[in-house]
Amino acid sequence: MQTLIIVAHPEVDNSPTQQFLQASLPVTNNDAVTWHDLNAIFTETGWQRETELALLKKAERIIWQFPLYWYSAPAILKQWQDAIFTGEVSQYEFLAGKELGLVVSVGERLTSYQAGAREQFTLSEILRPYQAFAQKLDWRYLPPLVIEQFGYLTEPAKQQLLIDYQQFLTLAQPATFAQKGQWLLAQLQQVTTNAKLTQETLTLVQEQLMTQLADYQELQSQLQEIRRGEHD
Amino acid sequence: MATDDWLTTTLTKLAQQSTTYQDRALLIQTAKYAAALAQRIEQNEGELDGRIWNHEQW
Repeated sequence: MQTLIIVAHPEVDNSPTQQFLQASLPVTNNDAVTWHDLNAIFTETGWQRETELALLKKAERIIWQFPLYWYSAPAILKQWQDAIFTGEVSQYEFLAGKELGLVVSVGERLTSYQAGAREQFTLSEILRPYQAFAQKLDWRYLPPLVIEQFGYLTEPAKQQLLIDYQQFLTLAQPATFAQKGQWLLAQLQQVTTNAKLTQETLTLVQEQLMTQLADYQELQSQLQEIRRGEHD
Repeated sequence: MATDDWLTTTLTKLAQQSTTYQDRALLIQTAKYAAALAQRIEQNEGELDGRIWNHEQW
């Protein structure tokens, strides 16, 4: 799958969150993921509209990645949107069927985004304009990946974020528990071995995981069959 | 040691021996996944037993 990450941040180099995400890009099969920093390619004449549209056309999943500033993306995303998507909506029918996934970092805790809490509104409400855009262009809006208070993340939470992010970029959505396992299994094949981390152990681990996944899927299908056969 | 314990323990050990950040994250997350998978298998086996022996369906 081809994924285009449109990064809308005024200073990617000075953002620990964006730096972390950039370092988290999949190292293998990385031609399938394109990092596109809107600020870096902005010139006096703006963006090359045809180039941008060609990039969008090539991608199956489009990511808009940004920090939440005053309940919206930084201005550069809106500027890009207005510059690229000009005129009649029907012009963009050739892009129908894309997926739009938002990667949003927030400085507040996620629990603040609910009725009665500090921010009062949910992120689904705040991010609605992006969903509306996707709807208008006949793109499939994915459940956003929200990064909560990156600066306070513990090491295990960062490791979790790295994998969540890679899955958000490359895994079919929505993914079942078993599909996530298959994805992990595929990634294990790319792990770099060394004197201690031997290929032999790694292969054993993969075989074991594969067996357990097969057992799980078999159990799931047996259960489904039994549930279907039962009456109320 | 049960096989699922072996899987989780081995993955955690491999993560400690890994030299790259991405690999370490992958191995740790796979260890967590393996633990969740083992739990689901156990729950599914329990559910399967329960449904097979459900006398109301005989």
